[in-house]
Amino acid sequence: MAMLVTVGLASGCAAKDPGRPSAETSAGGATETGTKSSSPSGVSGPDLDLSKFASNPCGALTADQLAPLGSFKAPEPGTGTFGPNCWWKATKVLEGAGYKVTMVTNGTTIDTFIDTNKSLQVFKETTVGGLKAASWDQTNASANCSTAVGTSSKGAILVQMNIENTNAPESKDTCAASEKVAALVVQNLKG
Amino acid sequence: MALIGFDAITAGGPVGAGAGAGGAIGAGLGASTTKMQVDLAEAPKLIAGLEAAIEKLVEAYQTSDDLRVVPSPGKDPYSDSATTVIRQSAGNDPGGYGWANLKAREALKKTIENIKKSIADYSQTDGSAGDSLTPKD
Repeated sequence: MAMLVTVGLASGCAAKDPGRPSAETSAGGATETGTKSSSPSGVSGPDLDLSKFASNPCGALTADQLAPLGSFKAPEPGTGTFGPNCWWKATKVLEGAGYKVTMVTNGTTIDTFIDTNKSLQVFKETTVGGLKAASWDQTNASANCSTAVGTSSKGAILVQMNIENTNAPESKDTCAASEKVAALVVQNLKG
Repeated sequence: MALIGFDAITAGGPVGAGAGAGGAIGAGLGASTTKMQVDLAEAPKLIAGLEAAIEKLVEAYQTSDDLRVVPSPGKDPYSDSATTVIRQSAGNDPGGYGWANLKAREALKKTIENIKKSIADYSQTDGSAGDSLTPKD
């Protein structure tokens, strides 16, 4: 366990340091559109309409956006605990990163994600595209990271990434990779 | 048929509390190896199968991450307690599912590495043997 903790701390994804707030970083910077939210969840900015991709979650990322992220198999749409999702698996699982994007339509909010995950070894609150967000991993972020972004008082998006190749650039900071993809999805929701 | 040998990496014995969820995949504190053989011609299929297994483990890991976020179904202490146990079983503590899942993925990756090395060693040995039988001018 000590080894896992050490690896987690060594990774670029901010490991939680009790009593010491993490510095916020910002990912993405799309122009905001839509109506202003008065969300009790603390989401600042406009509500984003998840229905845009709820019936077609694999439309949440464009081919142009995916190209620089790696080589992927045909995207697989599905439905999970939180809502409709799409999984872009790496063409070669031992080489590239994979990303699963979920439209969180079951009522789970960014604050729920934060409350549930804030005690994890790897956790940070941040902003993505100007929206309240959080990234975490339940182990050491060496191969996985999840980023949730609040899109309204009732919804969020969730990006879960995985990378098996420890030499890949994404492996150095898995949470930066999931935040980068989350920013792209937010950008597409706004556009 | 040419058989090549390799070390398959397997997990050790289960650890105590929380092994229920993780133990199914082979939660262990230490990895061990098992000597195995495969037909050289079938080795790529074996590698493809192990890679598919890694993909399944990634999917299961993400599902276990989802499970931890599911809120307690009720306000009563029993619901809270059950939710806490589910989160621990799904999480990163030794024996928890997330922990066991990563260990299993590491073991599969190491096994694939060993098979590839064995293929390379065989090719090199075969090539050297062929060269030694080639008449010199």
